[in-house]
Amino acid sequence: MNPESVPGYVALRGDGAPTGRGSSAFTAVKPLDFEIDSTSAIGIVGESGSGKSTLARMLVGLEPVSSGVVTYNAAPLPQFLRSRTGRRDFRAAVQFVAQDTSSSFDPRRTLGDAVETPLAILHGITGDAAAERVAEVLALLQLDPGHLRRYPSEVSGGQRQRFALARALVVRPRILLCDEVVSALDVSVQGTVLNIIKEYCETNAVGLAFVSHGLPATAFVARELVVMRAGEVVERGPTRQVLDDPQHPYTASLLAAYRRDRAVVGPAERPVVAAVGPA
Amino acid sequence: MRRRPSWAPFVPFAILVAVAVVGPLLIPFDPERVAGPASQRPGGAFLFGTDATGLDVFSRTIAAARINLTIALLVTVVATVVGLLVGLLIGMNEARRGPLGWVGRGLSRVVDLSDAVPALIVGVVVVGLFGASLVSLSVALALIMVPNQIRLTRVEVLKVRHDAYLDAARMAGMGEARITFRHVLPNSCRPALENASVVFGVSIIVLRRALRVPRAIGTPPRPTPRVGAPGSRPASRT
Repeated sequence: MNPESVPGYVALRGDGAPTGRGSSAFTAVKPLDFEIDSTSAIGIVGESGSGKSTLARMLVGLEPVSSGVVTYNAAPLPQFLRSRTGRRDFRAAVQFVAQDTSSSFDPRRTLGDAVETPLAILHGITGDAAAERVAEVLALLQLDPGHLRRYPSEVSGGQRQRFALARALVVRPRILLCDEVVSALDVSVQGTVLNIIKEYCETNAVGLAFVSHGLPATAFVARELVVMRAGEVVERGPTRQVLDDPQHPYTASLLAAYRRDRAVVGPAERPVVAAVGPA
Repeated sequence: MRRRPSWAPFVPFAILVAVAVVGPLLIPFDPERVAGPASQRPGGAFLFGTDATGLDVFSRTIAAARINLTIALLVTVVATVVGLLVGLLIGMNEARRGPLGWVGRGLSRVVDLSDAVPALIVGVVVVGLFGASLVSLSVALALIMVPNQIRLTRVEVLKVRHDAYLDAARMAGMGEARITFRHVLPNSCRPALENASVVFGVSIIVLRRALRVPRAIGTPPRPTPRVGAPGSRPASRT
């Protein structure tokens, strides 16, 4: 299968609202309607517990949707995930990168194993061809190929998070969902990683859904912003418009909080924006 | 201080195994035949003396190692492998909805219930069903030992189950069964493997007791040698 030719869009339609269970309880009041295709660059912002991670996990089928439905190419996602080939088609087209935790890589397996496995399973690429593709992605993410032989505990958090990105990008997905991918990184690395993500998605026509509580980072990579609070979308629109003219008081308070931080930190340490800068 | 080589802990066990493997070639008398006068002191032809029926205690001790080790090893391997598999099955499924979840939760309750059944009853039932033999003794022992192995594995699986690398494996297109064996098993087998040495030790102790329970339950009244069995007590103690 030629990975370039995988089409795809993911949509989530909640008639009432998708509801999670337990600690990730996700109780939306308003209907959710969400669509990502390979031209999207959506940023989802909101405070902790606003349901934004749950939303991202639902979109890739890692969390059940109890009301509403996630579709992939207009067919319900569970239908895809049930069969082996459907699962592989969907996973090859839509990849998800989770927030860095020390557990995002199997401690007993090398980073190389983690990056090569998706290639082998989703595209049947092994051996030299796989090594070539892995090297390509590592170069893109400015990672040392020597680290492939290392174990996750032997590299830094920033490197591990870039390896997590490599693991997702190596299969050439059409849609990339990122859940707090830069939140754990220090500011200088954040800028580099954000630039890489943005550039990669734009040049390769990869749809991006970027979930983060960091407003500036999200605004930098996203053309469209979705603001969530308590499991409900309070505002959405083109990034510029949301930033310049927030309609919902919650969005305004998020912006104000960010501006206040910036005033305290001062321009020299301005998070992300200083490191990223418009090209 | 020099570091102890990693194989050092296996030395005592290796000696035991060596005795079990080569021992029977070295023993001077048939361990199940009368070798001389009853109740001889240690020394001379009878290194450890003879017991009340005139069997050679040294020969019986060495021969016993083989039987004890075979049973204990069998029990340990069976209890650990079954414990790991059932522990994985319960741990991965008990929180699930649908039939697999029912199986997981049901098995979990069965394991808890097994605590209420005394080991002796298990032994009586198994021996009653399959007759008194070394095999049924092994089965009974494995049944008694397996719940602990299951529990140790289950708890570990519950810890590992929410680790982010499982989601990463799902994103890589892996199925649940493959994820279980490739990522969950290696990260949750340690406690059960460590406890395997306890299972081994307890098996040997219980084997020694097995001969003291009423004849109907123990092995048939052949003078099969077993470490610590009453028949191999030194003459001075009987």
